[in-house]
Amino acid sequence: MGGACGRRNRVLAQVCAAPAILGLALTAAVPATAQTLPAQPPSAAASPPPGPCELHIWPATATHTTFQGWVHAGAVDGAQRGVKGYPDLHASALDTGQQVRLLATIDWRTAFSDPALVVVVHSAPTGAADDRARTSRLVTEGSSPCYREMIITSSIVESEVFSKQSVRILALRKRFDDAGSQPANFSSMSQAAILFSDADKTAADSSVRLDAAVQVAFVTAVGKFAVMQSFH
Amino acid sequence: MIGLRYALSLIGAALAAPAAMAQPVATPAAPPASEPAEVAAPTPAPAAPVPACELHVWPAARVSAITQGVGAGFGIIGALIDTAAHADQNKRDTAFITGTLDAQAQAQVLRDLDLPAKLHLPPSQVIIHDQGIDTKRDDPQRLSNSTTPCYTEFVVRSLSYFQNIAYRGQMRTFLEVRRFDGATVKLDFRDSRHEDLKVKLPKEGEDTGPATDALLTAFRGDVAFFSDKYARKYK
Repeated sequence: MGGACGRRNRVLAQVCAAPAILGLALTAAVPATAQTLPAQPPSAAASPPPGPCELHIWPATATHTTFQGWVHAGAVDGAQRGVKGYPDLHASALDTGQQVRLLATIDWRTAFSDPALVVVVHSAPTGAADDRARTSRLVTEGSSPCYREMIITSSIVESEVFSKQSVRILALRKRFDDAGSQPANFSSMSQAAILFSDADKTAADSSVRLDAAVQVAFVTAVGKFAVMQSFH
Repeated sequence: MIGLRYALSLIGAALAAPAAMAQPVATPAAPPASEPAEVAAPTPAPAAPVPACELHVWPAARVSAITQGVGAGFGIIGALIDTAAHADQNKRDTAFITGTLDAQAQAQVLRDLDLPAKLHLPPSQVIIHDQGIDTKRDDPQRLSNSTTPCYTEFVVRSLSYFQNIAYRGQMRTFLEVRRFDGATVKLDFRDSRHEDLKVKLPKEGEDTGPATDALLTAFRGDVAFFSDKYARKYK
């Protein structure tokens, strides 16, 4: 996988990761249910692993908002709670169902440089109290020895008066290399600006366009994390 | 102006601060075939009585993160420039704290601390709400719809991170306890407490693990200190 590529050499890792960034693409809409993408036959690699690697992905519970304006600042989920002076940042475009749909559109096999990767996007958050401290797999039954978990622990739409509006994710990757191994954790955050032009703002369907822009930023942020984790 | 607003909001906040499960069941011996089977129904274990008192808990409604540079000391213009220069960092730190100390994480810490015991309350059913709430000093009404006579509220009002050239990084937690006599509040105690963080808040791509642990530890310490102070004052 890309992780192995990254661990050998940092420069080589960046070369390996570059196509991953380009490979992130929005494809056709996918139903918001746990979904297994069919394994593709592995290419003629020099030393093929004993079985395909599995990547299990979980969405965040909800998407929060943070807002720092000229007059109002600091309330978490201000618009959702009906706090006066807090604009709607369209966090509803990233509810759990939408996250699942968007996560299923990402080309994970390219991002992880593994054409045989078996990807499962789960339809609900993990529900575990502390995923970082957990040493066991969340999916034990029938899972491959080569097993990875990617958990979106938080999703946030953020707005700051002196900075671009953006979507930020906090995520955790747990890598289990064989059946009895301890996981290698990597937790970090990534963000992507919400690209919303003046033409989009004045369009009749500006709300729909903003939803779409928020979703694109989420996918981009997740893609950045996918690249980051390959270095660790 | 925004620097002034941030400063004022910080100062303002500081001033206002304030089973029957898994029971071993003996397997009855098989009765003789000629006799009718007579199996005593297992007696269910009595359920633990639900405490009559309620402790309602709300997670933080507000999160702020402010990093100041030297520009903050040069009047309003300097503060404005300084705020603009740190805008991305403040946005990032605010989001990181919001995500790391979300309602679920706060609830876990508060459950572990056993708040009713810490606050010297009678045995209470702890009801943790999943969204923050803004409180007003002059509001005597309950924040929930509960009508139980024995009723207390514990509100995490705000989480605030502050860093400048003198302070490496501080997490301050603003907390409030409201005790009720019937429908109206009879005691409203507000305070805040800060912990110095030993680690910097992470940037994009950096490992968030150490800062996550530091924030959780700071929050736990702040709540424990506040609860002990409340218990000492109103025992």
